[in-house]
Amino acid sequence: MIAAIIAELLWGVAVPLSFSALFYQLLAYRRMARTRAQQILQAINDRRNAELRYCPREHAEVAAWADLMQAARNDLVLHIYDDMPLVAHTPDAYARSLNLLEEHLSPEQLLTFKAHNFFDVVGSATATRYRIDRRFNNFNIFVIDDRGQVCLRLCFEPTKRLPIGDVLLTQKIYLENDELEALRVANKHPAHPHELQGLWP
Amino acid sequence: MRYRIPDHSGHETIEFDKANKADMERAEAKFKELTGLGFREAKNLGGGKQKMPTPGDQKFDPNAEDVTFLRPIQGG
Repeated sequence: MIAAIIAELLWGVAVPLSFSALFYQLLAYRRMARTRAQQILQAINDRRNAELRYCPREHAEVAAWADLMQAARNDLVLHIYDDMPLVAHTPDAYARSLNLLEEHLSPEQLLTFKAHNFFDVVGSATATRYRIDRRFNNFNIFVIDDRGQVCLRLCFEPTKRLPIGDVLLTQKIYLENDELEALRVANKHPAHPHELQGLWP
Repeated sequence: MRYRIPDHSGHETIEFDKANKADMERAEAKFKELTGLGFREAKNLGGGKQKMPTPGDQKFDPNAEDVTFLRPIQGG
């Protein structure tokens, strides 16, 4: 009888206790979940704020680069599209890539490049003359026919976005050494003479 | 021997001492690494001329002085 009473008392206490434990456990989970959610939200906010803080710097870098280039070459058409990823391509990278290109140019190529922002190359397989012009973001390679007329525009580039000097160097070496591969991958675009009027001497 | 690899910084230059065997082994290993990644080497011959072998003919040349490694190309 006494044992039964004790068991009844224990049951009466244990069950509510277990329910309350479960209740508190659920509350704890909820607190943890809320804390975790807050942490995630905080991380998102921090990242967004960091990006917002970084954006003006990116634009400032691009603007600084543009000013530098404009001062250096007043006749240069600025390549905004090319230079937007220039968050990584600093003015120094731009200059280093052009130095590398200029080291690889022949004296004649260097002369026209310095004076007029283009140089000519001769294709290794077909002896076709190509004009590579730095002032164009896309389709900056002009195919010149026997009459000296531009008949087609081409565009190919390295598989990674590189500063402009590196892109021009890649185009030059591929056309002079593996023209067929360059022609195979290049996108082609018809040339419109009116677009090119006054572009070259 | 000098390797020049165009990259986001303009280019990276790596110098190797031809008289140093370990250096030349390092040069060969770098050559294999880059060509394995699809780069193509162009030996600078001076005067604006470069020689870029076709992918089947790519071979480490211990006598090369100035080599530029170019990434594969794609339509732009």
